[in-house]
Amino acid sequence: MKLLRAHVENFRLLRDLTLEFATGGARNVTVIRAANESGKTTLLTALQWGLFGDSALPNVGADYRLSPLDIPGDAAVAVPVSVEIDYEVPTRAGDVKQYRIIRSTLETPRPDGTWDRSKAKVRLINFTPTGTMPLDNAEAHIRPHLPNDLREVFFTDGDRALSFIEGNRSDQMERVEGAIQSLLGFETVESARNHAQQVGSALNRRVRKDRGTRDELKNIVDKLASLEQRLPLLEADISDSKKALDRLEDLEREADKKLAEALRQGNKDELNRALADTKRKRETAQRESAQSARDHANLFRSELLAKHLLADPFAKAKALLQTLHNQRQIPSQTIPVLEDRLEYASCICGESLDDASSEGRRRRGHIAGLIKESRATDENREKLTALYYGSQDLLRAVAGRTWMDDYADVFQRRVNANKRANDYGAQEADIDAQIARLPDIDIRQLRASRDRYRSQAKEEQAKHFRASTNRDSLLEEKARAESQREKLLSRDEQGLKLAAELHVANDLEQILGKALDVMRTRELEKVSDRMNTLFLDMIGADAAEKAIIRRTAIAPDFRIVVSGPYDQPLDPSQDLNGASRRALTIAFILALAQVSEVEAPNVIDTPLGMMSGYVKQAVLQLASQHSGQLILMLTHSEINECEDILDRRAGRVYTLTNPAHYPNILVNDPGTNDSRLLVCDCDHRSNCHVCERRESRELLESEAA
Amino acid sequence: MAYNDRKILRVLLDELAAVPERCEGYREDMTHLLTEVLTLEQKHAIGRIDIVKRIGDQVNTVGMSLYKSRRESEP
Repeated sequence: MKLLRAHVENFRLLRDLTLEFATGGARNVTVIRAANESGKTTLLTALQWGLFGDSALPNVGADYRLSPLDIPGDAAVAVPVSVEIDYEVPTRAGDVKQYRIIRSTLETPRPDGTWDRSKAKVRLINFTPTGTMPLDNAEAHIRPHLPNDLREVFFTDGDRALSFIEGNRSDQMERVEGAIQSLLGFETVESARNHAQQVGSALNRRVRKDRGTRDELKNIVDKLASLEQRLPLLEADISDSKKALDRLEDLEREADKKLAEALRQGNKDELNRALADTKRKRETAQRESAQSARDHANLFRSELLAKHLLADPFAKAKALLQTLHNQRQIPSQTIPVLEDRLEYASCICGESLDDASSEGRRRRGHIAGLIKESRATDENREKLTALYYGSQDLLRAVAGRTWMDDYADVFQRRVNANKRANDYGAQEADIDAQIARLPDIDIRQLRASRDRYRSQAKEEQAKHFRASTNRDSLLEEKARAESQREKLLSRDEQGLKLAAELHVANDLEQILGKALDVMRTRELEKVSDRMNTLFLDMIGADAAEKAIIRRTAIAPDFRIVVSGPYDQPLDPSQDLNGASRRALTIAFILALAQVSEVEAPNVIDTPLGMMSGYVKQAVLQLASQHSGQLILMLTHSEINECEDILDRRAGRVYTLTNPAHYPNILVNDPGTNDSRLLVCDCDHRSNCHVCERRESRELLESEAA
Repeated sequence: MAYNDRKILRVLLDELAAVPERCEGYREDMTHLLTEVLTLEQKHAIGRIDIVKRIGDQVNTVGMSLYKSRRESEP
């Protein structure tokens, strides 16, 4: 299919626009050059509405006004909106048939900003050599050429194109599968196989009806009928369990991702445990700090401090006391000796101390006098004696550790304990803040969800395996029953006729079934290989060198996968930059069109956004080479660096201009105040009075300077 | 058609090569049958037809041809 021409009326900014599209040969590219806000996306939407109807509008058209937004609602005027598209499709004979599809509606804006829209009418006209022929049932006619599954393949914008490789995995796979099935014709072959199966079942029923008296044949036919009834149920089970498995694996992956993300932010349980541990350590450090403070205070009350501070006077006192001691002035021993002597009748010198004799009394009186005399001087000696003995410990020189050593130890202990208490306090505050920052996520719940999906996926995997095994056993049983039926049929003429028909029906079913398998494997591999080659060429990756992206492929479950060095899987939505993601999607679309050998238009809005240099040029070059018809909506900056390629490949170039851009962007007054796009034939290198932009003039001036 | 039916027919004919030549001209008849089936599927997609009966008729034609060939080749 190729688009030939489009005429759009009153579709938003497109009041009256006619475009003809380049269709073939080396110049198969049509360029719609337009700055931002100049109708590129509106044109893409208008073309899709024309071909696919409301389903192609944002939100299925529910809140999407079609008529120009500056038409006031108070006029209550019905605005005719229409899109007319001419296209051609190849026939099996090798020629083409040309059609025109016209989709139109009436839209009446209301004063409150809402609008009424009539049901759109669709007309399809076939251009024949003898004139035009309107066709009934236009939608049914056009849908085989443009299935809804292919809308995103034929018409895409740079962002939406990414839906093949981004977002929910099962949605991605469904989109890729839908596009491949439609373009490779899986659905047609599958439908033909189902119809061939029904033909076989009808023949089987005829055999039962014509069995005559042969009960054995009846039994075999009944068995076959039963097997044929069970087979589609098992196929449905296999398909359902596969879909359920994909969905559960998606959910598991999603839950795992959420869990990893939550754990990356912090595990609340672990943080709470860490908080309690840190608090305990802080309290211990604070107790140690309090104890060292007490020890610190006690140091100032210690004997050691006194010895330390009074060392010199103590040394003098000690020397003095020692001198007295050496001179036997201390300790005082006289009085006890004298008193002791008075207990006896004689003195130590042998003289009598007898109280009966006068000499003895005299001597006793003398000793008593000596005692009295000594008692007066001994009060001082006693004090000195007490001091001498009592101060022995105090006046002993300090050996080993000094008070300063103890002070340094206690001080250090106190400083360390304070530091630890402060550090733990800061850690505690930090953990508290982390906990406060954490969203209210229950890690245990997330883990439980992930594990539940994992376990359900395992169950579904087992279910899928059981259903596949049952299906295979059933097919073997069916083949045996068919062979038996053939033997029984060959016994009479009518049976032989039926057997021949059954052979044909079975052969037909088998050919279609095997072709379907081949398309699902070999043809899919071809698309996969082609996509890989195109993509690596587009991004300039050399797999033999040190490229990060080494290979891309379409997996049997229709997932587009990307591998790095050592076949390490890369996530296209995370590991590829914006330019590579767009290139990959374009490579997939081109590969699919090439392998299916379908002539299809590729209408792409801003495909080269986020690209520059080599990748931009390679994508444009390869897309123009490998697309049957390429219609590109490009901004001026996308065209920049690609002018040479467009010189060679562009068959038609139009420039769309939004008059509202005057005077800020446009150089000249376009002479209209209407909200409408202006179209001119300026190509990718030229400008006219209508489309000349300030930056192009500035560029020319700077080049001239 | 969105798909290329000539391409599909090529795939179908590749598979037909694996089917035994049950009688002279059998594969030729099957080629015609496969082409007809694809045409009927296209018609069915545009406007519903009694496709099972129509394919059944085509199968009957090839089946009768096979039956006759077998009878003729019997001694």
